Amino acid sequence: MSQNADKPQSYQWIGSSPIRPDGIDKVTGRANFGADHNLPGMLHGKILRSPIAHGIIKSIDLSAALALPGVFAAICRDDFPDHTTVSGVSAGEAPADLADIAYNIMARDKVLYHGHAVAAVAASSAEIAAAALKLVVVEYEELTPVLNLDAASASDAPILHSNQFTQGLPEKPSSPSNIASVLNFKRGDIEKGFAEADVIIEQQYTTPTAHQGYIEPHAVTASCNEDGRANVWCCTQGPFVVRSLTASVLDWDVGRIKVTPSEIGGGFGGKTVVYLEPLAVKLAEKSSRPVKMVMSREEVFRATGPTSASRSHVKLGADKNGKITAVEIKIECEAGAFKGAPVGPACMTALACYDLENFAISGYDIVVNKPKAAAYRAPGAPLSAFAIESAVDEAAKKLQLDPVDFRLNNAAKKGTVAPYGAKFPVIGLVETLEAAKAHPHYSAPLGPNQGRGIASGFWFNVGMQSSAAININENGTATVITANPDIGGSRASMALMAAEALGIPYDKINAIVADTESSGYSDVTGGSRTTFATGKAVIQTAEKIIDELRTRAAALWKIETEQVEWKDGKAHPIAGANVDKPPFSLEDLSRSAAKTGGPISARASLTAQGAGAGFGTHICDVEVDPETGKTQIIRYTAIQDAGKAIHRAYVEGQLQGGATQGIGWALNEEYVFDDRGVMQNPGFLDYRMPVALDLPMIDTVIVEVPNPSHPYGVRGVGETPIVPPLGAVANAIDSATNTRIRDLPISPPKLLKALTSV
Amino acid sequence: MARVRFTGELAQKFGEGELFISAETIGDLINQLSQQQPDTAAQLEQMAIAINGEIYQHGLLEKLGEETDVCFIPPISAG
Repeated sequence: MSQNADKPQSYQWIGSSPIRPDGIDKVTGRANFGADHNLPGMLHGKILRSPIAHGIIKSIDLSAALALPGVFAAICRDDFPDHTTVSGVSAGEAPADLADIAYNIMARDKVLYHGHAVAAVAASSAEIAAAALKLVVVEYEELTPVLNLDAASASDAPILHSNQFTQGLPEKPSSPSNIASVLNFKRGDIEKGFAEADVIIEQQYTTPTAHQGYIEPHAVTASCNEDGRANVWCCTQGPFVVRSLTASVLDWDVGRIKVTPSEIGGGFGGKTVVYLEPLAVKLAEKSSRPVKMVMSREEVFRATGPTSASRSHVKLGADKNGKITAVEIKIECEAGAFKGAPVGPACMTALACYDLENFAISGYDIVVNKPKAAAYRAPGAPLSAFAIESAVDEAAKKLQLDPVDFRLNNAAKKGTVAPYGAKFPVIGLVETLEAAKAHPHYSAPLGPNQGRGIASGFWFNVGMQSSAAININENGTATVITANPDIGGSRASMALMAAEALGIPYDKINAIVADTESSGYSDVTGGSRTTFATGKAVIQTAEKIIDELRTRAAALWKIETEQVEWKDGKAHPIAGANVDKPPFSLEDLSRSAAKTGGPISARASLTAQGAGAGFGTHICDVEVDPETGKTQIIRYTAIQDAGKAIHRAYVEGQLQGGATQGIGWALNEEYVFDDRGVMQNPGFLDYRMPVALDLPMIDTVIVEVPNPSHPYGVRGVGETPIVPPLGAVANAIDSATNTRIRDLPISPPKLLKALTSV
Repeated sequence: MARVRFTGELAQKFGEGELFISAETIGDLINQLSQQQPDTAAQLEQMAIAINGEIYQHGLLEKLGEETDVCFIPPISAG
């Protein structure tokens, strides 16, 4: 289903859903993922991980492991340069702290979470490597682990980092703290706003630690040549970021490292960082053999970055006319062992769906002895959206207002100054709310124990750096080259945009993902930026190709380039050019290329600006079993402004995938730790993600309010759909049971307890 | 003159109101602000900038007009 909010524009290829270029390889099992790369003489690397959540490493002895036959190399903290000063390093999307990255992938003076890497070995077989790990002797002095926000913030809390002083306070504090930073955004007069309110909701909402749950574990193969250069094959969202971070951690020149991305079995933000790559390169260098390292699922859960657990305290006031008069929200996020919880975007997105005069937002980035948080689809936004969308629903209910009308009454629109300070250009939130209200789902009857909830969500979307190249082959087909791993359909989208721009059929274009030495620099596939930003680079490249083709045709016709136009994939002399010849097709011009100037190719690199903001509204129907507390999603509709859907089926898939992940987070997903900080459910049997049997077909509505900063109007779509579901599900459960759960996940035992205690 | 706003920690340094500054580009604006408050220079370099509502993660060369609305915001990472 699709709705155009602006004048429909006719495209030949944009907006269609052709066969995916990677489809056959994936369904036949031929696609090569990270663990599929093998080299002659390759060793197998494994990592020794900390058995405790917090402790001082007093000593590490690798000698017995190295003496084991079949072991070629063993490494620990002594093999890596110290990055003791806090310094910014390009991580593709935002500056990262190199000292923390290096410390996270190999512990230094302390271990900071259960599963923290302490040593690694490379051996001729995985079995010998595992045996060698048992021979590594590590002496620890165990410290009390800090396992939650209250424990971390207590005045007598054990301090994880003695050099961490809270940032963002008016005065630099005199003592270190587990609170890494404090953020504040405010506007207007909240006391005046609350005084004007007829209804005030004041509640606390919490979300658990949740993992991206990508199916493919992290995997890498690395080799080092005698000339000191390394080749790295890995599954990643950004080969250039792997190159940059690996080089930085090892203190190498980036020019020594070539990174080739494999097919990728999901990332969702979790593969924008490095865990294995610097270790594999170091082991390969020391052993003079290629080294493969593949994480187990348990390692993925224990030692890679999930998203933060959070606690939000919300006070929201509204008057009887349905206007929100003031909002105050305090958001605390667990960063894991190193600073960097997504508290900034959690704060900035929290109230972005609303046009507010009075608000105060504060955010706290707090370290605890758990795995360091990593990006997860719209990082931070689902945490605060769960709190706000729940509180908005509670206010609407108290005011006896329709929840869509209540949101429309307060909706952000063009000209609204977002809470983070930017004035919105044209956006499509209102259109998604109106589409929700008009959708048959919203007025469909409900049965016993059933309820309906809605929620809206926002993500900024970003542009950043991208490169593309197009080579025209001798038969008029084209190869489109980018360096953005294809997570959610980038090859198909790039091919469609190139087809549209060049005016040739989609199946005449082969889109590929290149390594770091075969493409210009591109930032990661993430931030919902690739179709927007890399797409702009592809379109610019296609325009250069067209200019070249016009020039070649003009030369053959002995007229000026300006007298040739490119239309429907052919060069035509314009009226009055006095050329009585049939048009040249792309195939004609490519076949004669050798005689008219040589191969036809072009490239473009850019920093893309003007990524259009993404808004969505979801409708969720649930049925709750009052005897078990189990919630069944019985109908779900995800509505989102995509600007312009390039590959319609992929956009629908993004909406369905984001909604599914958000539903899982709302109902079942959570890290369960014991009192020593050991995760108790590090596998998909106990970390319960939704599967196909758990969900109905998720309906989608693509609203199209074009982004004026993209030639085809594209807005990113990948992030936004995970933002509304947490609130939508909780609101639906409240509607079904008249029981408000403010602590996710709303698992059967938790809901049953709440239902039976009423 | 560009109308410039700050959020978060920078608002504590420059104030929560608007500043009106004449600058040709974002780079020039950052230079002027860094001279006003030298301890903010590194932070200003790392901030994203909303120019008339559009977010620029990197934009030193972006031109500023007489009525340009500029807001310094924390850099945005994503999944």
